[in-house]
Amino acid sequence: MALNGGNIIWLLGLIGFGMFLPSEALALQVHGEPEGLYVHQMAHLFYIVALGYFFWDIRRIAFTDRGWRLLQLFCVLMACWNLLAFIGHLAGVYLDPQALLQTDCYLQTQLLSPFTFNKSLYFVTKLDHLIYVPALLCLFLGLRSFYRSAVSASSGGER
Amino acid sequence: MNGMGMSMLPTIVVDVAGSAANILLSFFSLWYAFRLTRLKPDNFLWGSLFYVTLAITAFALSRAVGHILKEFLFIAGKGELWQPIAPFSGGVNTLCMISVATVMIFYHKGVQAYEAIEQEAAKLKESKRRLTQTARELKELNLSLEDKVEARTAELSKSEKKFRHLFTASKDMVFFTDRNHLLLDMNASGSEMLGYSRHETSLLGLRDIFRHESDVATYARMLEIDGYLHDFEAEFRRKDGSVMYVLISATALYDEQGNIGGSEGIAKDLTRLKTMMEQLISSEKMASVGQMAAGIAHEINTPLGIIHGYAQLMLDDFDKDSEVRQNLEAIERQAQASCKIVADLLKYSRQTGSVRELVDLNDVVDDALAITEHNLSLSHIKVARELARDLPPVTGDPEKLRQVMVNLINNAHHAMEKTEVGRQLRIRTRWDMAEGKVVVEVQDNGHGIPEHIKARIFDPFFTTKPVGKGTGLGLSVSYGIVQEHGGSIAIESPIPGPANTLLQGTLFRLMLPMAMEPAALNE
Repeated sequence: MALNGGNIIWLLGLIGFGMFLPSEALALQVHGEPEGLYVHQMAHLFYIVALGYFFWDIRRIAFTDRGWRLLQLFCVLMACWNLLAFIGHLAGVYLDPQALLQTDCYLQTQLLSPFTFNKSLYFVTKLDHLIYVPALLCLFLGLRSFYRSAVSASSGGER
Repeated sequence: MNGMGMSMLPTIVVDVAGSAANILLSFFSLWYAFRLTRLKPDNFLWGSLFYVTLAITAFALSRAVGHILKEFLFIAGKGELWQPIAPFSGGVNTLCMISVATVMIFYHKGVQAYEAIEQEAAKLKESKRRLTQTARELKELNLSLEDKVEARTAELSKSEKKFRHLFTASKDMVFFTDRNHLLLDMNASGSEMLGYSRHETSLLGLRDIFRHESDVATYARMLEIDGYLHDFEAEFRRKDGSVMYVLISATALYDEQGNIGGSEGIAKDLTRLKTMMEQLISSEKMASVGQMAAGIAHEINTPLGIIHGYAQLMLDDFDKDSEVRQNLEAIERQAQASCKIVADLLKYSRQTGSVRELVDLNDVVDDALAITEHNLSLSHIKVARELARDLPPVTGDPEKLRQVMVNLINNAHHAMEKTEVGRQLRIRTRWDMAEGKVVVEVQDNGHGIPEHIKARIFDPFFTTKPVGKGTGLGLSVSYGIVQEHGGSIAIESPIPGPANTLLQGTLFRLMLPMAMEPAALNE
């Protein structure tokens, strides 16, 4: 719908009404505590989608160099990590704060028994770097491979 | 792990160590991505990958720093300090994750654009390469064009010279026509054969030189159907009206639309060959007739002799003035005439005996003229003798050869009866050393022999003289005698004169093989 003179007057009138007659219903929306978690979880899902897209794109272009293979592996591992982190965040939410016991110091913190599925999941997902580090290693190796290929191509010919 | 629960220490260690490793690995990755962009600044792919890596590094750094800070604060027992930092760290992490995902998605679009640009660049590069190649070729062509043109011209000139020589030097007629069968070109031999000048032939068409219109139609139809014609026998009409028998091979010439635009052809003169064939056929025919005549003559010779003998015997029994005697004299006269015809027939069929000796044809000519000279002079015929000296002898029967000469002279005499003035008989003897033959030519300036009866004049009983004036055996008998002597008789009428002229009259050319050396003859 195009904005003409009449429409603009109506719009300004509506805004003015809201400004001069404030009430709870017309105030700015309040962002409660869970919103941060939701946004973060959505970001994980978005990241997974983007990695899938990136992975598909590499396959589409049919790059077969070692560097591209490693980049594909990075996508897979990173997507797994995102999934693990997503689950870990959920497990953290549902974990009873009493389940963790800190005695003398932080390093002696314990996850108290009985070990439920949620507690086990929480513990395992806390070890997410065991996936994250290999993923970044793949990225590093892949880029290094690209670089070396490019260097040899520069001395021998175009890639 | 003890009896109360499981230690979280491994997770803390993995978290701290992993975060540190992440910082290192992400920075190394970014370093290589950066180096790639430096190495190939114009490569869009590496540029995009650098931004992807940058976002990943930012996320890894944000997360790792937050995790390490948190862990160390908790270890230091100042966990409460982390509480205000945690939302910021989490927020930054979320932002970084969204950034990484966004960059990755836009990376794809960038790659697509890059691919399209690469393809266009490749096309441009290929076009440039072709242009360069074409420019180089053009330059080379330009440089060598003059040489090539010169070489090509020389080749064409050589080829043209070769075919021109074939065209001009051919002894057969070579001609080119347009679609309407008008002559475009004809070689000198063709013009000469037809008796036209080169200029005159350029104004002619096939309809002017073909004797029969139907032959032109056949020629055109065969070219149209087959595109060529091979060994097509036809008759041409010379400028002087005489007929020439030819064998034509021709090919159609097509224009760019595939229509017949003309033809090229070669015509071989078969007139001489055809005449020889006709003479051969005539010779065979006369041999057959001769055999038949010999049989008849042999059978009626005896009864005729008896009739003649008894008629002579009975003449003595009657008075001179009696009617019976007159009748008997008529019988005797006609029987004698019949005997002469039979004798001629026998001569023609070579049934009579003959002798073989060395004969000087000059003597034979002299003897024959001595016999006929009186009659010739009465008819005001001037005789020109051109007798060759040192003429080699021939082997034969002088009597029979004399008869041949008398026959030829009488024939010439009769042919000139209607010639008003300047009657001339020319008799020439010569020696054709190449052929090994002695030639006698008897030429008159009489009415000549029409073309259509030339092949028949040696046939027995063929005569153009009025009834009672000739038996039609003279030339037949002469022909038989000449054949018997291994010779031949040729006729020319009209007679080819000097400078391609034609003289009225007839020329009989008698050719007899010269005798062997006397020594060989004796053997």
